[in-house]
Amino acid sequence: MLKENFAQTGALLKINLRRDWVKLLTWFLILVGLLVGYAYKIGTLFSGEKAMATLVATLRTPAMIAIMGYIPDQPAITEAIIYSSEMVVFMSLFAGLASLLISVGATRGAEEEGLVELLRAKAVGQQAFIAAAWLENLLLNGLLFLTTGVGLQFAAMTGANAAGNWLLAALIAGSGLVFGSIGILAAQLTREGRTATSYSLAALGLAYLLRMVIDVRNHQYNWWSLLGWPEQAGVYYHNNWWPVVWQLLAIVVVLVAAMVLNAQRDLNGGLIAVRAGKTTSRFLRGPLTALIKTDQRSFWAWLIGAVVIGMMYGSIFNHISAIIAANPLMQQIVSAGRQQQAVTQLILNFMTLLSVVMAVLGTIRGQMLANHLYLDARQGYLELYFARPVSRLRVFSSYLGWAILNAWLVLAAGILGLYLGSAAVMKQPLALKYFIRIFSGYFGPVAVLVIFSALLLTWAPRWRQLGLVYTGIGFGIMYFHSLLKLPTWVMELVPYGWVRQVPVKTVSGATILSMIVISLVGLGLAYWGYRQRDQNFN
Amino acid sequence: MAATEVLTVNHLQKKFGKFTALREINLTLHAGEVLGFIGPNGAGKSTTIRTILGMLRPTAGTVQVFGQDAWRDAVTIHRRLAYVPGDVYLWPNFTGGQTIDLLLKMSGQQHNAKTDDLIQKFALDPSKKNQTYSKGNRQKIALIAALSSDVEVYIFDEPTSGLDPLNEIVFQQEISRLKAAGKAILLSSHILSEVEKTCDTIAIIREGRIIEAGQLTELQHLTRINVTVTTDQDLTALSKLPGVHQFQQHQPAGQYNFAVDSDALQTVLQTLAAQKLTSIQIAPPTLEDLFLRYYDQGRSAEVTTHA
Repeated sequence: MLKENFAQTGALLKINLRRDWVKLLTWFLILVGLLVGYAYKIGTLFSGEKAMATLVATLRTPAMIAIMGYIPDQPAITEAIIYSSEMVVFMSLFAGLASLLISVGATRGAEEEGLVELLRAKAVGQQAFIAAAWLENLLLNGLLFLTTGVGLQFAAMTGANAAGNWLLAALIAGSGLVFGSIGILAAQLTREGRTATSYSLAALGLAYLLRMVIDVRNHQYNWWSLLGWPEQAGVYYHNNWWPVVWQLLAIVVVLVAAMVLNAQRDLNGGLIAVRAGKTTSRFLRGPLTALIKTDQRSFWAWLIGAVVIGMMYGSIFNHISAIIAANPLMQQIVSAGRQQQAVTQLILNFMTLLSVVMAVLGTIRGQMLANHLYLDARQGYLELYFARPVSRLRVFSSYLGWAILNAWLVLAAGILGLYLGSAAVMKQPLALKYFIRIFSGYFGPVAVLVIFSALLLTWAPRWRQLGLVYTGIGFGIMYFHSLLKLPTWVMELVPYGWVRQVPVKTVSGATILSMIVISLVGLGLAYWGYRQRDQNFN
Repeated sequence: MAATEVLTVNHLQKKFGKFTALREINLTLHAGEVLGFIGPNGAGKSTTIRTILGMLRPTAGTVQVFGQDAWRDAVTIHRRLAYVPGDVYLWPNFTGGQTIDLLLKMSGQQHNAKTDDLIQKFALDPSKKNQTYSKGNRQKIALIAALSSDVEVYIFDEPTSGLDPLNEIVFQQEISRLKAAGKAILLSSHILSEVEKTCDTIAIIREGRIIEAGQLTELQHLTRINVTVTTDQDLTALSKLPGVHQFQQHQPAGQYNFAVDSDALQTVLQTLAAQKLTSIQIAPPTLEDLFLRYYDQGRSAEVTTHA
């Protein structure tokens, strides 16, 4: 029985590896590159006690704790401890992301493509797809564990120890496997791969945000978050292996749940049956309304998600003021009135970072929607439009218009959440004008990036994912510029860098105007490219 | 009949990167004419149709519909045209009924009595969600939207590939109705009987080239005639004659079956006349024969005797 259920797992794994090897290799290189590369560089990046002290001070600010995780209070801070505090949460997040994307692709993705139906008719076990997807994850994370462990050993950061090196590698690989298994579970729940990806991404995001809120308030409780576990290990100072055990247990539980669900559901079906509906719709009239209707679930998910993320960030603002109030040095230097000003200034500085997060969320939403112009054409939906008196311009502007509008809506929703969250917890809430400033600053860069994706799509569809990559790079540059001490010109390589002072300062009219010009020219060029192209992007 | 040309394809060529999908396509379609467009999978039928619809840009050559350029004037042309793709992909989460209405609205048409009539004839449940429909049902949705549109040209790309025989009959009836109403129809297929039943003219495509086009009646001279003879005499000598193919002898009834090239028929009949025959049947070629002859050229040339 057991043998039958898992029949041909090995053969499936081989197929998966052949299909995914580029993806796997890319993720592997990114993860190992960051982990090992930073370990080698940390000594040179922050050489000297002064640099270290500033770094530790920065890392101890609530803003940085929120983003990277907490840093222990014990006096003897070493390179290795800084490294683990900075990396363990973030790299767990990335490993989780990589793994869940691979899992969903190998399970629900393959099912959507009809591959599962084709193979299940052969002597392939019912659970073999799950097993193969999981083994693929194990391979990625196993190699990640070994390479990172060995790499850290050779990097020999001051204060590092072998136990810590291997523990850190195990925690990150473990997080990868946990979220990879969650991806497999999500793939059993819904019919569509896209929805499965959204579910598992939501689990990942929620774990990260929960950890953030807990870390800022009281890090002892971050057992409650899957991404809090790696922090609890106290790599290099406690070297507690329990979190790894927890991860292993979690993997088993999630995987068993996935297999139970898989055994009960129909092929090509989810757990939730599709109901019949009304035969008429007043709303549907053309490409735009059809797009809006197909997109409606994502629409609400993104908006609500952005508000929630904003609120979670906003809800830690009072802790920033509390920390300043509690700092005796602060109290000595500045008067009470000044103190309030200093708090505002500090929060505004923190908000320059948070603005980027909101902008990135909006951008990703917009770029993904823009990509639908390509995806829907490849899926064959657009063939039905273009056989009708529907112009290229109409389809193009429907997709791009909806993409840019949604990018702005998500940006606005994130900022609204930030405002609501901060207003709820702060005794003296920040003025609304700062939040409006964020929007008026970032609507430009967001649009420029979405249009950049559209340009790639219409002129070089093969490279269409570079838009998202560019956004990711932009995020990295903006977020870590102070840690990595990046010069200004590097920041200006990405549109976000053009408005980096927001909301501390407003954006100049000239900057806004030039972004509008860039957007319009970009849109024109993108449409021109689309006009020339075969409808199905051959 | 000097009917107006509604579709003219001249020396059409289409490349996808290095791959040449269409080498040399020439087609004409007149008002009131049903053109069968046949060819095996991958011959370039759908590519040709998509080029006619202005979805693909010709690498060389011209495609004109109603005298207008298929690529440039796509929107104007499509006001007078209806199309059913070979593979119908529909937006998930819409019901079938909503999809039909949306398709009609985008064509500038209305949901009308004909639409309801077709939904009933094709036995479609319009309240189901698109993702739960089978291939045949998705095809029906596109067919209902196209057939209940009142336009001048109808293009069908392998329209019955997912339909059951009952629905296929409904489809044939609808084609006859459109034909009687003087509409121009382009029907692509690899199902020969379908084309044979409904088409006036055919065009055969192979490896991106139109290898034969014309009236069905004109094309028949090119093909072999099937002859069935019953006799108690030995006719095996016939198989040695030039132009005789697929010679089969059925024992013990004394029945012979073979195909004759039209230009060799005279000689064969003279030979037969010298024999004592119980019965003889001469059947005009089916499209199937015609088709096989073109696609099997390499092989059938050698198969002059029975296997």
